[in-house]
Amino acid sequence: MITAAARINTQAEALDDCLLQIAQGSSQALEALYRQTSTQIYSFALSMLKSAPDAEDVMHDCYVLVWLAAESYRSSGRPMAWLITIAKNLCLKKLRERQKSADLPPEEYELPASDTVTPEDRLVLQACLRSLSPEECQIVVLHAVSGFKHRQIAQVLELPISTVLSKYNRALKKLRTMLEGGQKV
Amino acid sequence: MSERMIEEKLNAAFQHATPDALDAILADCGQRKGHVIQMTEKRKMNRGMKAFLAAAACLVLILTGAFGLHAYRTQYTVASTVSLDVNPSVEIAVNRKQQVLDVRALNEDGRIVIGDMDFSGCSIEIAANALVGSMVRNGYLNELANSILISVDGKDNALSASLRQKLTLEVDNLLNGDGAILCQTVVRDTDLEELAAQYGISVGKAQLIRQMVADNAYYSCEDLAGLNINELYLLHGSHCGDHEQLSCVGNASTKAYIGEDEARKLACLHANVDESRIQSCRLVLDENGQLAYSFCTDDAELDCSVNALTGAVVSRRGHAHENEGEHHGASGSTQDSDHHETSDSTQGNDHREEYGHHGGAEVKETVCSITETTPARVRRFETETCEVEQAHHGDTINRRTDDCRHTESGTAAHCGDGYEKHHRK
Repeated sequence: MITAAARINTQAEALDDCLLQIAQGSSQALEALYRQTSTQIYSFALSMLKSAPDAEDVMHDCYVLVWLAAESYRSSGRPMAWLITIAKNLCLKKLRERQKSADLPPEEYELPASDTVTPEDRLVLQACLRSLSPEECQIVVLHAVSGFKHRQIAQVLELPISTVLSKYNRALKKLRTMLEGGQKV
Repeated sequence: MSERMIEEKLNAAFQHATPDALDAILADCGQRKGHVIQMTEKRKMNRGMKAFLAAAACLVLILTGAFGLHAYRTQYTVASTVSLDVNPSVEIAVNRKQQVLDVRALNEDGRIVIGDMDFSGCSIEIAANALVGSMVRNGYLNELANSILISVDGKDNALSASLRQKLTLEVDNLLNGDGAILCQTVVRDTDLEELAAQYGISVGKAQLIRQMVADNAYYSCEDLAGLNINELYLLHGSHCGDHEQLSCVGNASTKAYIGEDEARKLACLHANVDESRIQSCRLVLDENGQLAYSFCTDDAELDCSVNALTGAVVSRRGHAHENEGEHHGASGSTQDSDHHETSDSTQGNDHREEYGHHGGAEVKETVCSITETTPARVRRFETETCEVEQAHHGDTINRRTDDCRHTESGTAAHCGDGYEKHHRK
């Protein structure tokens, strides 16, 4: 039986291999990396930016950067953290650009317009993006979608682990209330 | 709804919402390969490390401040003042690095010497070189007057010693060894500053003059203040003792004067005595405040002075009495003798005999007071024309005369408030 830790390690090793091959110019490795991590990258970007088009731009730029910077990657057993850090920096850059132009009011948050998104998915996304604070949203996404431990989340977001835990629990309570109570989001 | 269920719903929602941008990414990556951007991950510091870094930063700040203050003081605080005196007088303020902070003239000649030169920030050697060079160019230093006084004033003894050594060497090199350099360390006090202010001279020159007066009461500050450094150096070498604070390099020029040999001949010719009988010859200040060679014989037959510039002979005893009033010097000039002494007993109480005449006037009233002062014993006389204050200094007599412009003999040689000098054997 494969434990969760072993599964994570296996996934990390696979991502490390991909990055090594990308550094050697393998587009197939980039494709493989994309297949394994695009949801985590996009979700994290969406949780920070709360705008589907901007999150898609960040995801695009993130993989391009990975393609260009893979040679500088030094494996430390945490390739996903490296990718999330790249995405985070791109999101911060995007936010700075957005501040220079104009802040988006909350009601104008753009949700993904995809055929694969069901009404339930839309409800969950709306609950997550609109009812949670930015940090709560990022913590929930990193834990639920990217599979990060709370300790890893604390490192990536540069927050005390106690803060991460409390914010995560508070966020889940909000989501539960929203999803169970059928409150209009 | 369980926590796990919520997480699964979230996972599913975000997976469904993720667009497929692979083609666009691959297309872009194919075009941009070759450009590397370094991504660094910021490490989280623990509290201990933060405290340590904060303390280290404070320490660095304190050290930087202290160093900055020290550097500021080193750079901009006057650590020593150097004055150069010839006849022009200039004062140079330097910092601990011996860099010039300011140069100012102490008299009109000093302003001419400085001209439009700006010495800020340059080394003291460069400034001294330029200033002494300017003194040479402007004719203040030449073969007739080659003496310069360097005075270093500062609390740092090591710095003062270093400056004295450097400047002496620099000036001596600049004058090709033909200059005469008096170099001293100034020890300031209120009296010295007042003396300098009174005569409008540098503190360094005031100290030299005060020292010379202390060494020989024959001189007064008033007489010496008007002399240039070459004259002071000649007098210093002739009369004054050696001092630890004052060093001398080279010999002061005597080319402007007739010379001791010529003066000796004139004196002997005048007194009709053989040169071999002359016991001593000294350079002194005559009653006009000019340098004179003073000669005397062991039997006091000859006691006269010869003006170092003109060669005019002034007798005070012996044959001079016989030729009273007219003595011809080398230049042919005539100068009246206006001093008469009929007795050698000036230390005694019979001062009326001693000063039977003063400027041709009889003493009407004798001693008003006899006061013992250090080192002189002072007596006062009154004549018809003036008051005479007489001070004995060992073998010399200084007379203070007031308003003696019109004496019967017509001389005006010792007018004013100054002391006129007489040598006594």
